[in-house]
Amino acid sequence: MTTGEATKNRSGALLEGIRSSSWQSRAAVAVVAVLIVLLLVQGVRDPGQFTSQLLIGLTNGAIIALIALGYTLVYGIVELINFAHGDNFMIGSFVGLTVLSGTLFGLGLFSPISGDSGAALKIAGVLIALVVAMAACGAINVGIERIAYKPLRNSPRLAVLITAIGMSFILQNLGLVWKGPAQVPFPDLISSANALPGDTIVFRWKDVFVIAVTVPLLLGLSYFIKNTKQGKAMRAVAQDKEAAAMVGINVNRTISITFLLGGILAGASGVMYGLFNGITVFNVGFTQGLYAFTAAVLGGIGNLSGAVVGGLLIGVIGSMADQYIGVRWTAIVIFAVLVLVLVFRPTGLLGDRSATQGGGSDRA
Amino acid sequence: MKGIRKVGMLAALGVASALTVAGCGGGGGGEGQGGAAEGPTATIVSDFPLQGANRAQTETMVNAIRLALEERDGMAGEVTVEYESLDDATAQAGQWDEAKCAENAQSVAQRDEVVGWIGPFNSGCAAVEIPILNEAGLGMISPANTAIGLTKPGGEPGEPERYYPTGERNYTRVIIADDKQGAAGATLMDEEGFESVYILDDRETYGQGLADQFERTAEELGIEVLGRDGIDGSASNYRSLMERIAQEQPDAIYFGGIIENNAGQLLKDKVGAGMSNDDVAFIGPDGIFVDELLNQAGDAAEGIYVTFGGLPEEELSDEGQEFVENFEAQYNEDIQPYTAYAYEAANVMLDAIERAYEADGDVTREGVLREIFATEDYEGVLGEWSFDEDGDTTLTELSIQRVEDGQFTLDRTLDVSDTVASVE
Amino acid sequence: MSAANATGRGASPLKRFGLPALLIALALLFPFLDDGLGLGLMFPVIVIAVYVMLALGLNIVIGFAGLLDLGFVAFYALGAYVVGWFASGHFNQVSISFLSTARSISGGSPAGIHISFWILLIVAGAFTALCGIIIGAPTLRLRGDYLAIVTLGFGEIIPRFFQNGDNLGGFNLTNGTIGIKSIDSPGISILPDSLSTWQRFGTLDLNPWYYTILLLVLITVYVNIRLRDSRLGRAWVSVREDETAAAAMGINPVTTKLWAYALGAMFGGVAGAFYGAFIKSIFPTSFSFNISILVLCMVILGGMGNIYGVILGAIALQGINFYLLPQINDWVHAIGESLGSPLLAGADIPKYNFFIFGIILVLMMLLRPEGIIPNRQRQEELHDDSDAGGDALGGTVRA
Repeated sequence: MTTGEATKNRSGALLEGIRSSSWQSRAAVAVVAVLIVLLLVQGVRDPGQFTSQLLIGLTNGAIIALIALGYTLVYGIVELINFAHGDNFMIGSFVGLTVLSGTLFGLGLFSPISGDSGAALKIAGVLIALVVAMAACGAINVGIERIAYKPLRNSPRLAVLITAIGMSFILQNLGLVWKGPAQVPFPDLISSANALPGDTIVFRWKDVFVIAVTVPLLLGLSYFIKNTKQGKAMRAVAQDKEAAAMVGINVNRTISITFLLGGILAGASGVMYGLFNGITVFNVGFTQGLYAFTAAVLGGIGNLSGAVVGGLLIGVIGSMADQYIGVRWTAIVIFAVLVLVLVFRPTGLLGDRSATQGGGSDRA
Repeated sequence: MKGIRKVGMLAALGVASALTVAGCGGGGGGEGQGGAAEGPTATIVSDFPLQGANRAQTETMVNAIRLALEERDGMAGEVTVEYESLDDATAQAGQWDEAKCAENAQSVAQRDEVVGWIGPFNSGCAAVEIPILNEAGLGMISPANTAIGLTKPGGEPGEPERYYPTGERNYTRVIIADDKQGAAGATLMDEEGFESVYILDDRETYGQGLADQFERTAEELGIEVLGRDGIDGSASNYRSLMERIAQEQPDAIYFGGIIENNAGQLLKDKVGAGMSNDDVAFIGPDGIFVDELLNQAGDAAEGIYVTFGGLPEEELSDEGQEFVENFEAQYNEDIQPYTAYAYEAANVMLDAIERAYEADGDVTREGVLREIFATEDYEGVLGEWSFDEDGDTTLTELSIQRVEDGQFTLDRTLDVSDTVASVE
Repeated sequence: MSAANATGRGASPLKRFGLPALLIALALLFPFLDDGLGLGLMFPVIVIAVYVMLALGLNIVIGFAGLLDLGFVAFYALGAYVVGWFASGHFNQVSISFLSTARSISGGSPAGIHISFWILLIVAGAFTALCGIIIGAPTLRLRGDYLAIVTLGFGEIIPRFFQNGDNLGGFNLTNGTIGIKSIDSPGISILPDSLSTWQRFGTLDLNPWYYTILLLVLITVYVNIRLRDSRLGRAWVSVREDETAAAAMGINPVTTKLWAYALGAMFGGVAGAFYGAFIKSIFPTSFSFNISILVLCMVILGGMGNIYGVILGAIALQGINFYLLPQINDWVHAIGESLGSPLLAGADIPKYNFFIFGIILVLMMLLRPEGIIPNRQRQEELHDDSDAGGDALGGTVRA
């Protein structure tokens, strides 16, 4: 799990990299350059529209990035594609919705918080929803790890993959039974009015909200992993479990904390997704999870900055494809970019932890 | 499609408790006849996806068929009718599965006691099932398939003949097909003086087929089609798309699709992109004619148009109102868009069995099939209608609903027979 | 290692041939059994057999060569579309028939391309193998999970491409969402009229379909066994265990992996071709990520690399999905009625099917982490690994 070491001495290595690159990667860079130029031409032609689409892409991407962090954290430590993460995210949005509607398991605790409530109540409601969802999802993720992953730690790695898929089915069914098969609306708590003056470029208060939640979470997470004792333990376990255990790190506890962090991120992104888009549904975790996972790999799985870059990139590619290619091709474009990036940069854009730290899956 | 709306909900609720008790005592439909009945017996089956997102819908359809049977004490005239509900979805797919559709059709085809088939729900599933049941000579009544090519030309080349290997028809539907509903959308635009439209569909057989038919009629009526795109029903939002459509400045947006494919989000993002429903009209089909839409889209639903292939509530037959009351009383759940169609299909089927027995003195597949197609001037919950030679309903009057003050209200009724004829 | 490889090579002839012979005999007699007992299981069994074939194909990729593939459905889809394209009225611009059973209702030659199903089986296999190579060549140098993600990417792209392919610059390649329908039935037209069900496979008599897929499955099993014990099979093992060492011993890892990819894809394609002809309609939405995951579950659950295990895994999972889950509702209701419990009698079980499926997956994996019938060799490796204090997650698929 790196937080950016991979990028440190990149500028120096850039020239070296170009000199030693193969013709394929040069071709790839050329293709990318042409695409960017084409986009910029469009941008110059109609800057307002281009910027609006860019901003839409960035906010959509920020949510994907937050989910992607959960995948990448867990992968960095236990090398498991946690299929249940996307569904945990869905549960997070449902928990948030339940809190805001004032009912918890049929108990009416307070009257629903809606768009008509006062500003103070809205802020309090959003904060409480975030905290409760983060706590619930964190607990669920830790629980899943205990029940379904921990007993299999000495089993073939793919066995864990299957239990992860199983847990994903279970959570999805839980969501289906809980809120029903239809899309459920979120209260419209955050204004959709433009936060910027004028109306050529649209950046709504909702978009501000996404950034306002994502950035502190990212900074906090990054601080936690870099500077705290527990964060250092996580990095140690990610590098070498036996060695970490030998120097007295409680490996089980560290793994649990990683899952807890992943769950907290899932909860936060779930509530944010609901408030931002205004609608959530029981199978939202599947699609969003797929994109988030793609983002994590795109950036270099196990690499926190990579997940963020990947998420933002997918968001922007998505909105640009919607605008200039056509909605029905958007998913194909995103996955094609994924394939191309991996073909030409096999460890993702920013490289993965095993590439920078050794160990892990490059054995064999 | 919530055409048969909850009329006098309170009154219905009042009866609810009484009827529920009675219903419990009476036992499930068709059961409790006890032992081998003296008279003739026959079995009908229904086939819907009972798992996944459509479950809420299809469950009420099964109940509607049960209700139809119960109201006749499990008898179609002299014939004791057993009813069996099949599921064409799998847990793993979470929706209809073509293999499961084929399996259901195949296994029922070999059971001689089955004389009628109500279903399926999805047009794709129908394309799989019709040829199999056609070879078995089993009559089908679908309450939900709208793809035009299943019964008449206008879809793909080779349709509909390719579904009927024996050359004989065995498939009918009580729901209005896409051509009429698409035409209704375009006629509405014409009447309102909208000159340009951007067409969206949800990339499913129903939505895409409907959008195709709408596009055909719109072009016929001289409405400019500015663009066409297919949305991904699982996308998180459609802001980029709506941003792009806004640049085209259409008079209206037509959406061919169902509510399950994120219609609420689509509306929210449409209005969010500065295209209010007053400036840019939104027209959708009966697939989004569900109260749930008002709940999901909130204010963004205000002022949208929805076409609906059936009679408006004010003119709904007494049978229709009675059905709504009985259903909600008996099953204690709300009517869903296709519930009434399932009820109608069941009654048409039971009537056909009754007539077949009266005519032949025996219940056979041939007899029931003949009598299904002979359904004429049927007075049911959807109004008075007949099957034409293709097995389509003769209803041509559609209603346009508009959302006003958070309610679907009747805007106008349209007779599209002329428009449809001119396109063909 | 190589001793363990030869599962049953040193065993007595009875053990070596007895069980397979018994199973084959049982399979051959199954239609009579089904008919005699009135089980009505022919249809699900045929679908299960298609999945057995898919699982065996994926087993070559995952079990033998150790390459995690999350997009296997792509080959299944490609195979099905080969049959859709060349044995239906889809390309109605032309009218080509070759040894086909297709007849036009109006007489004359039917529109579209109609080529004999038996030829198409081979074409589908070759085409998907080629696609496997095209997809595999640039990506197989990726390590473990990255390869998995690239395959996932292709698994997402290909069905979506089929969905969008109704208007590729005005050309209708795939008929989009609506799918390709009315695919020709296979048939052996040279047979005498007394065997009319074999002349053109019908929808009501499933025996010809059953024996066709049985033959295909048996060929797949045979090829699987031969591959496992072949030089290539040993190369796979060595690349799977230690790519660097294998390369040092003169094995070309990329070619070796490419073979696994192409062969796995081929079986996926043939299974898809059969499925397309059997259902007679193909829809892009039926080739979703779910199918990749389901087949993957079959392989891992059964026991990666173990042919019997994989077959059992496929039968178990598809049996649960297709047969057991629909039954549970009736059982619970029956139990509820006999106990007089209205709660159970009226329980809405299909609503919880996904839940049950998930629980079954988790439980089976917790109870038998190495699969129902583990591959002996892999088991040994695994225990070797943990004895030596290897990585706790003891990656078996390490590629």
